[in-house]
Amino acid sequence: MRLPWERLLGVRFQYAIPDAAAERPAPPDLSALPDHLRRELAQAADRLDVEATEAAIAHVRNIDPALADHLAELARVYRFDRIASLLIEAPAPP
Amino acid sequence: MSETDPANIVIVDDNPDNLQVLGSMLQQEGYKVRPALSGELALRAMAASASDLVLLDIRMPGMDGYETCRRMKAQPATTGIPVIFISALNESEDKLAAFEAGAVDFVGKPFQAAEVLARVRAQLKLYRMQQHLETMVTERTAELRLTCESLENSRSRYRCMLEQTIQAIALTIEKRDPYTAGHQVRVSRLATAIALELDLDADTIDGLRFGSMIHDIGKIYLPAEILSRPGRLSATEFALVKTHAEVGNEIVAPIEFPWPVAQIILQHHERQDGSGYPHGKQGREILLEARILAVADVVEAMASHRPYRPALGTEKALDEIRRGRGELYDPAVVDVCLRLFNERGYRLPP
Repeated sequence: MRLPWERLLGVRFQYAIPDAAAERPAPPDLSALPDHLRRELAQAADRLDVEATEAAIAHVRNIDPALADHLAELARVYRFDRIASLLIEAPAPP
Repeated sequence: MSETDPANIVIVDDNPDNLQVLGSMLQQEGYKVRPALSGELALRAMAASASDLVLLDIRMPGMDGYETCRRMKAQPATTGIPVIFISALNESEDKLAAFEAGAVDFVGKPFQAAEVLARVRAQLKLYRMQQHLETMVTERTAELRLTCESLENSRSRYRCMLEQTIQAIALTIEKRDPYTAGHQVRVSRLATAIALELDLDADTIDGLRFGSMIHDIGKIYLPAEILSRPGRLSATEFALVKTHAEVGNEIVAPIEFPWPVAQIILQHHERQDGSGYPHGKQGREILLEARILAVADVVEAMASHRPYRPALGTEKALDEIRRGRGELYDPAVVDVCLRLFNERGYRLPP
C-alpha cells in the first residue's frame, strides 16, 4: 500500500534496512588483560568500589588506553554491572 | 569498622544523577561511597564486602527499595546494617512501609544536604555503638566460656581426687576388718540404686554415695579384735561398737563436704520408731539419705558373711526390711528396695 505523500508525489520511497550489527560498536575486548588485573577489576566492580575501580582502570591504561577510556566511562555512570559482564564475556588469556 | 576508618555507605538509586549528588555530598564529608543503580547490585556488593549504612531509594525498576531492605534484613551478614530510605514518596503509608521493611530512618526528596548528613552521622554513631557492644558481648562470652571450661576441668579433677580419697579411706577401714571387706562399696551401690529409683536429684545421690562409702569409718576407733572376733559380742562390746556412728561423725565433720556426709554417717543407725542410736531420732527427723543408707546397710549386712555368723542370704535380708517396714525402716525406701530386687533384678555385687 502506498503512503499518502507517495500518492501525492507519485513516487515510491525505498527505505534502507539498517544493518544493526554494523551500527553497534563491537564490545571492548578485555581478554588481553592479565589475570591479576582482571581479578582486581572484577573485585572492585562487584563491590561497587569507586576508588578501587579507578585504580584498576589506571593499570589498564598502561596496557590499552582506549579500553581504559571505555571502562572509565562505564564507571562514571556507575555501570559496574557492565564492567563485570565484560570481564565474564571476555575469554581468559591462554 | 573501627573508630578511625571512614564509614562506607552504599547508595542505591536507579538515577545516576541522584547517585552523583548524594555521592559527592557524602564523599566531601569523608565517607567512602559505593553507588548502586539497583537493589540487586547493592545486595551483591554487600555480600562481597560489608557496609556500614545504606541510603535506599524506593521506586526502582526491578527490585524496589522495600524488597531490597527486606532481603538485607533476612541475611545474617546484612541484617544489622542501618537503612535510611530516601524517596520522593512522602505519604505516611510509604514511610510506614519503609519502617516495616526494616528502615531506621526516612528522608523525603527533595532533601536538605545538612539534614541527610545529620541523619547519616546519627545512624552511624548508633551502629558503631551497637557493634562495639556486640564485640564486647562476644569477647566476654568467649572469656566466660573458657572460664567455665576451666572450672569444669578443675571440678572434674577435684571430684576425681575426692572419690579416690574416699575410696582410700574406705579401704583403710576394711584393711583392719577383712570380714567386712567390700561392705561399704556394696552398701553404697545399693543405696545409690535406691536413690535413683526414688528419682532423687543427682547432687543428693552423690552425697549419699560418698557418705555410704565411708559410713563405717568410726569403726577405725574400735579394737580390731572386736571387729573380727567370731561369736556374739558382749553387751559392753556391743555398746562400744555402737559408738562408731558418733566417732564417724566426729572424724568427718571437719571436712567441708558439699553434702551432709557427717550427718548421714551419724544417723545411719537411727530407726523410724526412735529405737535406733545414737540419738533415738524418729521418722523424718532422720535425713532421707540416712534412712536409705539404713536399709541398704541392713540388707547387705544380713546377706553377707559376718565373723559371728554365716551369710543369711538376700531373701532373709529382704524379709527383715519387710518386717521392719514403717516401724524400723522408711516404708517408701523399703518398697523401692524390694522392687529393685524382686522386679528390677537387682543383685548385690560379689
